[in-house]
Amino acid sequence: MAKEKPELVYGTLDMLILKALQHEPVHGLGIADRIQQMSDKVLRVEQGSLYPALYRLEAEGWISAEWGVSENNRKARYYKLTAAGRKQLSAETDHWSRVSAAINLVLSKA
Amino acid sequence: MFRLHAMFRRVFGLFQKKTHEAEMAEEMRAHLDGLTERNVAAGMSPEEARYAALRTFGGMAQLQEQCRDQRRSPWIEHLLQDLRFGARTLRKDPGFTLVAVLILGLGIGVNTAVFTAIDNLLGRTLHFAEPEQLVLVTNVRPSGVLDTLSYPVYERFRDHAQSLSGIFAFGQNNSGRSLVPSGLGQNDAVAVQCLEVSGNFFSLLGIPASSGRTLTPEDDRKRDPRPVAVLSYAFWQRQFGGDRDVLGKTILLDKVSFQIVGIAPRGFWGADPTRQPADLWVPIEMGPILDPTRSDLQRGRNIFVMMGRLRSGIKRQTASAELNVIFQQWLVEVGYPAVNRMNIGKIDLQPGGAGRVDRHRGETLASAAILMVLVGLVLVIACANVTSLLLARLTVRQRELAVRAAMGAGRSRLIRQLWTESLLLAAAGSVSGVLVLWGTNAVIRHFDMGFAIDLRPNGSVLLFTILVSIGTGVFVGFLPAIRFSRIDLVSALKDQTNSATGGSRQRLNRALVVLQLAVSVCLLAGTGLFVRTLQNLKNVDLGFDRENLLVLMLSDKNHDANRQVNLVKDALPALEALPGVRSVTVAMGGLWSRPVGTVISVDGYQQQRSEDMSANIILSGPRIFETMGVPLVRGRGLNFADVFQTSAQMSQNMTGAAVINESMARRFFGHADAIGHRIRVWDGKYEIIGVARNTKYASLRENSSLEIYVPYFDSRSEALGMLIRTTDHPSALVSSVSAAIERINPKVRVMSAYTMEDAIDRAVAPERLIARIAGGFSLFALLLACLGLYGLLAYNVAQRTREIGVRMALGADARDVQSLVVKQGVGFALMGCAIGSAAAMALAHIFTSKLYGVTAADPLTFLDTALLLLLVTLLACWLPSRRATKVDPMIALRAE
Repeated sequence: MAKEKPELVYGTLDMLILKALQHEPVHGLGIADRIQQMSDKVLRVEQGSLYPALYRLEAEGWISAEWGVSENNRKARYYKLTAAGRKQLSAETDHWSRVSAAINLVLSKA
Repeated sequence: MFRLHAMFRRVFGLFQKKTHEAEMAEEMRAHLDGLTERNVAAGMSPEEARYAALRTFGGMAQLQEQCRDQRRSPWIEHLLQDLRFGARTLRKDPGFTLVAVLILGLGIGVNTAVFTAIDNLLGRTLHFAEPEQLVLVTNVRPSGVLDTLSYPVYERFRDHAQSLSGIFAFGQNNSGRSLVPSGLGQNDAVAVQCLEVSGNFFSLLGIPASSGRTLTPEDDRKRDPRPVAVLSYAFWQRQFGGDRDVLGKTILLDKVSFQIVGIAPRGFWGADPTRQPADLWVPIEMGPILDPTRSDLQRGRNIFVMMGRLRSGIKRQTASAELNVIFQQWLVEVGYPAVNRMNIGKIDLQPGGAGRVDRHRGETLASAAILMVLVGLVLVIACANVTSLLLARLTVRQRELAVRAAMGAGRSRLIRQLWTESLLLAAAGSVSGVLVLWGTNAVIRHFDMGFAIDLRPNGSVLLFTILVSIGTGVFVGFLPAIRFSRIDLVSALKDQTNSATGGSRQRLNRALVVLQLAVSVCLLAGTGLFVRTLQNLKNVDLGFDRENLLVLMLSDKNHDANRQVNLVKDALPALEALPGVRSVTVAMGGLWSRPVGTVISVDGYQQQRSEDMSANIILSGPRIFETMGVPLVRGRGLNFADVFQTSAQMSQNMTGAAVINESMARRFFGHADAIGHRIRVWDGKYEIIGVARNTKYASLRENSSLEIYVPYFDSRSEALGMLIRTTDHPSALVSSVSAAIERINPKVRVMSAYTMEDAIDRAVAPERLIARIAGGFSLFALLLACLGLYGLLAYNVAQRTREIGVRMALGADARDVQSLVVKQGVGFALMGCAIGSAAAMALAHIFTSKLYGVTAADPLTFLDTALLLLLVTLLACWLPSRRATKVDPMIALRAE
C-alpha cells in the first residue's frame, strides 16, 4: 500500500474521533475506518496515534468504553460519546470553523 | 469542572493499574486481529497478514507506554517508582543502610528528645479564656526575685482593686493528702495531690466544668466554706474510670468529708506549669479545716500565687500602680514598720496568659539553649558522615547511573531519584530515632535528675521530628545528588576512575572530614569546660564541713508548737547518746533544706532608699556551729538557753540572741565589732552574740549573702529539720536515729533522711546532666569523625597507590611512606582543631554564665582536647599508613 501523507491537521484527531462516535458506539478499529470513510478516504488515521488519543479522551471523560462483541464475533472495546463529550464536540466544531474561516480569509488575500 | 474530573480519573487510574493493563493489552490484540483478518481477506497469507498488521500498528511497547501516560499522572508514577527503586537499592546494601540509618537515627533521635524535654519545661500550652487579659501579681523584691504574696493581701486586692475585673489565688504547692471514696463504697485510701484555690479560680480563668459545676465564691466564704471539691479530668478517668456517678458523692479527704461537685474539662490541669498537676481542687478557706493547726491564712505567709484579669482598656502598668497604692495602705493599716515598708518590694504585674511564670525561667532557657546547640552539632556530624558515606557509595554506582542517563533519564530525574534515596534513609532514621527517644527517656529516669520530664511525644514534637527528618534527608542528599547527576557518560561507561576528574570530589570529602573533626573538637571542648565546671562546683568550699553529716526532715501531723519544743528537748540528748553520733542539732535553711528568708533591719543603721535588706535565715538549735562545722570568728554560738528560753519569753518582748555572718558584719558595721548590736528579724529583737564564717546558702555559685542564725522556734515553723554529725557512714545511722525518735514520740515520722553529700550532689544535678550529655555526644562525634577520617585516608592511599609505588621505587622506605599518610591525617586534624576550637570558644563565651571556675578560653581544656584529637587521629591513620607501606612498587607501577 502506498503510504500517503495522512493529511491530518495536528490537533484535530480528537475532534474527528468525537464526531465519528456521534451517532453510535464504535470500537477502535471501526473508528479509524469511519473517519476514513466519512472523509471520502482522504483522511487516514495513523494507527499509532489512534489509541493514545482514545485513551486521552477517555481520561478526560468525553468518551466512555465498554466491552462488547464485534461484527465478526470478537471481543472488542466499544467507545461511546458522553454528555460532556457531546458538549466538547460542539465546542471544538465551533472553534474549528472559526479558525479555518480565518485561515481561509488570510489565504484568499493576494 | 471537567478538568477536576479528569484529574480524579488520573489519580484513580493509579489504583486500577492491573485491570487497565489487561484491558489495554486485550484491546490492542483485538485490533491487531481485526487488521490481520482484513489483510487475509485482501488476499495475504496469514503470516504476511500478521506482519503487515503489526507494521501498520506500530511498536506495541511504545504505544502502550504512550497510552499509559495518557491515563495517569506521570509524576506520582515516577515518585512511586523512585521510592520502590530506592528501597530496593538500600536493601541490596544492608551494611551501608544499617550504618546510615543508625547514625541518622541517633542524630534525629537526640534532637527530638531534647526538643521534647525543652517543650515540656518551657512551653506547655494552657487554654484560658482571653489569655492576654490575664496577669500574674508578683511582689518584686529589691533583689529582683519575683515573690508571692499572702492571703490577707489577696483579700484586700480582691475587694478593692478597680483596674482588675477579678483576682484569684491558688496555693503555691499542692498538698499531698489521702482520699477515701467512702461515698462510692470504697474504703481504700488513695494518695492525691490537692490544690487550694479561691472560689473565683475557675470562672476567672474561663474554665467551665465538663460535668457538674466548678467552684464558686459562695463555696469559699470566709470562715464558713463549703466542703466541696472539683476533680481533674485525668484523675477522674484514672481513679473512677470516668464514671459519672461520682458527682454528688462524698469522699473523705484527710478524714474530712467533702462532696464532689464537678469534673474539670479534659486537658485542664491548673494555672501553674511549673508544678505537678493537681488531682482535685478545693476552696482555700477549707485549708484550716483540713489542717487545724495551720494559721497561715491569718498570719500572712507568702504562699499564695495571685493572678487577675485586667479590665478591658486598662494597661498592666496602670493596674500595677493601683495595686501598689492599695498594698502600701494595707501595710500601714496592719502596722508594718515604716522602715520595712520601703523594702518589702513592689507589686508588679506580669503577663499571665501562660500561667505562673517560673522565677528561674531565664536560667532554664539558657540551659535549654545549650542543649539545643549541642544536639544540633551532633546532627550536623551525623549528616556529614552519612553524606560522605553516600558519596563513597555513589562512586561505585557511577556505571549504573551512566546507563540510566544514556537511556534517557534527564538530570532532574536522576537528582530526584538520588534525593529520594536519602529521604528514605532519613525517614528510616527518624523511626529508629523514636527508639532512641525511648532509650533517652529510660536513661533520664534512671539518673533521677530532680525534675520531671514527660517524654511522651505530642503534636509539636512530631512536627519537629518530621521537619528535622525532611531537612536531614534533603541536606544529606543534596551534595551527592548534585555531584553525581552530572555524569560524564563516556568515561563512566568505560569504568574509568580518572583521578583528575575526582579532584572536586576529593575536596568535598576533605571538607566533610574537616567539618566532622571541627564539630568533634567543639563538643569535646564544651564537654571539658562543663566537666571542669562540675568538678569545681562539687569541690567548692561550702563554709561548713560536708562530710559525715546526716540531714533529717521530720513531720508531725498534729503540729503543736509546745509539743515540738518538748520533742526536740528530749530528742537532742537521746540522739547524742547513740553510738556513732558526734553531735546533734535542729536546723533549717540553706542548700540542704529549703531557703528561709526575710527582710531585716539593723538598729542604728541608716538604710538607703530601696536598699536590699533581705537576709537568709538559718533556724538554729544549740551546738549548730559545732555540728555543721562552721567556724566562729568572734563571740560565741547559740547555746541551750538561747534556743529554748526565747520561745517561752518571746511574748514578753525580751531580746533574743542571734549570730550573723562575716559578710553581714562587714556590711553593717565595717571593721567595728558587731557584738552587742541589735537587729530585728520578723517580729523579734535580737542581740548579736557572735560572728560566723560565710557559708554557701542558696546556691553553690553565690558569692556571699547575709546570713543570720536565729533560735529555731522563733519562726513557729511546722517543719522540723535535724542535723547529725556522725563519726562515720552517716547513712548507716538512719534506722537507729528513726527508732530513737519514734521512742520519744510515735506520732512523729521521719519524712526524709539524706546525707549532706547527697544534698550537694542534687544541687549540681543540672550541671551534671549537661556534662554527661555533652560527654556522650562528644564520644559519638569523635567516633564518627574518626571513622570519617579513616575512610578518607584509606581512599587516598588507594588513589595514590601508583605515586607511593614510585616513591618507594625511588628509595623511600616504610617510615617515609607512613609519615606521608600520617602527615596528611594530622593536617586534617589540625585544621579541624583550629576551626573547632574557635567555634567552641565563641559558643562558650555566650554561655559563660553557666561555667564556674573556668573561662571560656580555658587553655588547659583546649590543650587536652587537641591532644585527645591528635591521639584519635593517629589511631585513624594507623591502618591506612600500614597499608601504604605494604604497597609493592612493581605491582603499583604496572597497574594502570
